[in-house]
Amino acid sequence: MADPFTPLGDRAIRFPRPESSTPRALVRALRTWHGVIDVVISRDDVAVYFAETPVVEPAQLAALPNLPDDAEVPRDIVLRATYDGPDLEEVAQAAGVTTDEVIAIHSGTTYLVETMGFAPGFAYLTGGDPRLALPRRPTPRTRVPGGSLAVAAGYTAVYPFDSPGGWHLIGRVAERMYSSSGAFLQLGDRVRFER
Amino acid sequence: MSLVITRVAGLATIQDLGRPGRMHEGLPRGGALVPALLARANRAAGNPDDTAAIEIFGQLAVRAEQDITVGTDAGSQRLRAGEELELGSEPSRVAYLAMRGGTNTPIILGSRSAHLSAGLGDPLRAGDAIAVGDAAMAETPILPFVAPEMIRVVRGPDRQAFSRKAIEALESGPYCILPASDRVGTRLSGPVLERTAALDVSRPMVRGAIEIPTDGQPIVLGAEHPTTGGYPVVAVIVSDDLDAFHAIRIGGSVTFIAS
Repeated sequence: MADPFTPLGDRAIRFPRPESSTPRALVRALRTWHGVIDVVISRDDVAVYFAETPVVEPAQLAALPNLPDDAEVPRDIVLRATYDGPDLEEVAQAAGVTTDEVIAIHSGTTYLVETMGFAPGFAYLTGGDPRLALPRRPTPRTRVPGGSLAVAAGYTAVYPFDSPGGWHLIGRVAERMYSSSGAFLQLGDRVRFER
Repeated sequence: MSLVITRVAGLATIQDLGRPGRMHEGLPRGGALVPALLARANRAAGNPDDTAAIEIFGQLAVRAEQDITVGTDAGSQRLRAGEELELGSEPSRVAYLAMRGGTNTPIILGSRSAHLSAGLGDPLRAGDAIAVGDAAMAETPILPFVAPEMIRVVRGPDRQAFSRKAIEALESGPYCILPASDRVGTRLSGPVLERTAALDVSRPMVRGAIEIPTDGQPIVLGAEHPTTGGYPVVAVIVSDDLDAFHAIRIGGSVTFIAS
């Protein structure tokens, strides 16, 4: 039998993400484990970070699928977008629609914060229209301005800070994605973009 | 009471032990790159180990506005009003300058640490005045900082992305610490690690992870590492050896050994 988890150094473990539980329910459940400091949920994996050597019973892992979601209703967040990105035309061509249609499609969709990572406050938004699901750009940009609204690999995201990036830039968002009060978006949020 | 920064060459920031508990929103713990050296400076100053102090990559000069006790790796020192102190990170990667009482700088999300890649705090600049805080007096023995000859690693987790030869290459070393290293990651130059596969998706990362980009030269993730990343991780530095690794100066060398 395969190991139920892989060591990620001597103070963390990594294991496949149970699909049947929401990311926020997983974070809540894992943070109740003894000695846990942090949790990261990525597309396919979960990592749990401990203060000391991890001690994990098989029963703890077995309890992770089919967790009830958090009691609170997910938040509905509206981000103010300006669709003037340098790749808008290219995205329209690849999707076989006009730029106005790209904007209508993108702003007419409700997204879900499925995972967070890459940079502080960077939320991978799922639920986008498959017509805009382009692969990443062949050559990443060395600098994408903070606040850029981008699509790639079936996700939509807002770059919180200036950083290198390989996604297609379709616009800008006014809200700051990370600040002294923490991340603007949280796992489980429902997000729309309003022009 | 305060210290005034008179000169910075490199990077100087305020650091304590950072912000644990926010990795699920993309923020790694951050904080001092070498907590053991922060603790030594704090103990010399008579502070608890986790008190905020100035972290220096390069050179820093400060002037005491009033009489003040400071702590560095060299021990405790009383500065008279108007007296200047110069401090450099050599022969380590970083040095710490602690003021008796700590710093009275803003607490953001539970920490005074600057976390520049999250837009929290700012680098210190000439002319900045750092007010003394009110950290309780602590009298703790100053422990020697002993760096082991080899840095221990736990192999994996992405073993399937490397040949057996590549894992042996990592442990053959030595690797040189490159100047492009910063609080996000330490860039190494040495035996090339050939990847047999690429990851097609970003996976969770950890401080001390040795990730291998396409050129085969390792990057070791530091205090402000991305919480997820797409390069395969060949091994992770044992947590007890992280301070020793991050204390190795730029241009110095490191050898890894499987734990």
